[in-house]
Amino acid sequence: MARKHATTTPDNSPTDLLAARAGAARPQGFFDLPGVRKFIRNRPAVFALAVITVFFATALAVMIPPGLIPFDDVTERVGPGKLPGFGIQAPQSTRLDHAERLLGEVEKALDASNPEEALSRLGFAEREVFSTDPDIVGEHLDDAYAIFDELDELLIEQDDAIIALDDELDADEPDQATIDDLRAQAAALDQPIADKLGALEAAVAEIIPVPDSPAYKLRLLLGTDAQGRSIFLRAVYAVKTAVQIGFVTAVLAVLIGGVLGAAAGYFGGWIDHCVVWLYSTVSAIPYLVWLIVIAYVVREAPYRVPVIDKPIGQTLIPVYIAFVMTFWVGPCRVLRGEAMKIKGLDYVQSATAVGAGPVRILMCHVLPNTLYLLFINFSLLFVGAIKAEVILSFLGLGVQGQPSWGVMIRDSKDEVITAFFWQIGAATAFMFVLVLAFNILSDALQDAFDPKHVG
Amino acid sequence: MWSYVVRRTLYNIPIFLGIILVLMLLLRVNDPVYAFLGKNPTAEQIELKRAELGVDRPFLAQYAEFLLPIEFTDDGAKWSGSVFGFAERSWYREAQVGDIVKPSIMPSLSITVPALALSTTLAVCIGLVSAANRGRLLDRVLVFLAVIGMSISFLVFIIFGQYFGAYWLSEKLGVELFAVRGYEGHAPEVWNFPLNWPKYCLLPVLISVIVTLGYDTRFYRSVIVEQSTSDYIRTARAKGCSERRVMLKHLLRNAMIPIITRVMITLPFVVVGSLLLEVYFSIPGLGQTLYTHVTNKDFPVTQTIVAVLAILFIATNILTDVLYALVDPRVRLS
Repeated sequence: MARKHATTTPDNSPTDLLAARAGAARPQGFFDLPGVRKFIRNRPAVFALAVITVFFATALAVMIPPGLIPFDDVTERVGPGKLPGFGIQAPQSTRLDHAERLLGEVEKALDASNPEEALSRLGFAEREVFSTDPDIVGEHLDDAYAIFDELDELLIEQDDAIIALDDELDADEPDQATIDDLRAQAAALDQPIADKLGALEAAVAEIIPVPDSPAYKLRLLLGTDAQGRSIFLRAVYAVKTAVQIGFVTAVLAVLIGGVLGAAAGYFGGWIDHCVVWLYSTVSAIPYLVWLIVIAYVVREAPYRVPVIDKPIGQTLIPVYIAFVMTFWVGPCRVLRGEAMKIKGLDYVQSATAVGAGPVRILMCHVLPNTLYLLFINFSLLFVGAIKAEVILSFLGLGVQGQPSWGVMIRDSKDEVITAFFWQIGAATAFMFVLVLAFNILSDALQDAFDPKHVG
Repeated sequence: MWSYVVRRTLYNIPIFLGIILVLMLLLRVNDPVYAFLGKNPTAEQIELKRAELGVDRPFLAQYAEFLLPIEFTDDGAKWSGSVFGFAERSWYREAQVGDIVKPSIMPSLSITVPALALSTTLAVCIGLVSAANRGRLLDRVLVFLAVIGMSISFLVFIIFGQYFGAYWLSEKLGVELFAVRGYEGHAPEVWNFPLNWPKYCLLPVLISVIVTLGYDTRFYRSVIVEQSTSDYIRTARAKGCSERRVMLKHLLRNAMIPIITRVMITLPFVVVGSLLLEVYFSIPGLGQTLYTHVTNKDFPVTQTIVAVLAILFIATNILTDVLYALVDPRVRLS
């Protein structure tokens, strides 16, 4: 009863202190720890933790079979390429291009040796040709092409006006009346062209109707990339890739670095010399150099991964190995310093006096008391891994054969030049939210648990 | 002081040996020979190639040849006169390793040195402003902006930087301010470099500054905040120093050690830190050279570049300690 009282009132009046001291003999609950309490009071940090939980849940949902998003969904075409998201209309030239390409594909299917089969295969995801009867489709196609020709004429007319306008503007003595007239002519054609384009799209939609299902709308939520794949589905699938890479590398690097560092700091002597030599060796070269060399070497290794039976280069293993071999240095350094400090503290001395062996002291007394450092480092490494993945993927040494934010950003390089920002925007936004959440989390963890941290 | 420098150098030798050992072992995990032969090579071809590349000899011999100016021939060890593989032939291009590595140093430096100087100056200034207003709105906004900058990928900054800086700007203004890619710093003559520099290097420098500003600002802010709680600051305020004098004279001077440490630690790293920028803007610097030659299995060039980087790192480390003693009279080198 006394303990409960002490935990509910944070400010320690003398009676509370007495009560707390009375309760100190019993193990304290996790939520009673001062650091944990300080962390929970930090609103943005709790919010960040919630965001991270959502990302992890998404990753698990994608990972556990049958999977939230089947792998085929992220590789198949769902529409014409470079479609903007949120149902925003593409620029006129792109729309015309899309309509023309769709009509071309229908025409090609009709010309095939087996038009019925070709028509049944035509389509994007849930979007299919309304009928597989070549005659009916052919009739509709002719109608659509008639509209297309009319549209073409209008466009040519407008082009002529614009060319004439340019000529007039470049002329030695431009005539204002002619310029105004040509400008009006070109402008007057805007509306008919827009109407015609709408009619053309309607005609195309009659042949290949746009499904009204929410699933299809979701696929087009953030548009499509240059290959016509759904950006939204790829970005969500990439959550799995990112969490997988971040989690595996952060856990392994923290464990390896933590154990090595704690052992080096606690035992000292030649173990310390070896560990310090090892991490100095790794950290004397920019980590990007190690990442590139290791990732490249492991990728090229002639080794097939047994269970999934794939060459090692097509899995995430090269990325894991490169990251773990470079990132263990951070936690190792911190833990070494902390272990050296803890070694001299009273409770370790008393453990030695009671007769605990060095391994037991290390595992039961030193490591648990550095747990907050491990968590802070986990959070820092998670962010580091996600960001390094983008760099490696850009250099072609990262993720292979599955979507990741790095792969998406790399692919969007050529789209940006044509002022199409949906893919890079989506990947950046997803990554930004997760990385920001982790940055806020590590700050809050440091604030709450690290006495040396300056806020 | 000199005895200190010598001792530190000796102390760093095992680290240097370790770097080269780890690198050479790593590179030899996969047999490089097959990459240079056609499909289904005969055993004889493989042996010939192996001898030609020099990977048929024992590993320790290769290791020693790289580190020492000697050469192992059938008659025993011989003086070769060059270390760290500078005189070896590249496996990827018909050239000597030194002739590939040396010209790539200048383009790297012309991006990284201005970037480092600019970002450090800016970050210290912003850090000072932020720390002086600690806890107020301005400080919070600056810290928040820094965290936002840290949460966006380097690559995104580069892609948008190139699009808006080089492409969009020249489209809108009609003036080609920055080159979209490429590097012709020394064209047509070497002394044209200052004139060419803004066109080829300013945009990568700006991008690099924006990327590092977030990290640097946060670091320098916490350094300054930490200093501002110490006793000598309170004393300075108590004796009536103006806030400006406290900040610029007392505080900044004492914050010099962490600032120098950070600059010196990042110095060798910025050389390759610009690797992405160099690859993206196709600037023939050290980073791009390293990337090209690693992915083409060119061991000699890779080893030499890494050795150069390692020496650079060790040298700056020792230099940092010497600088400490110059900046802070309390530090004694012993």
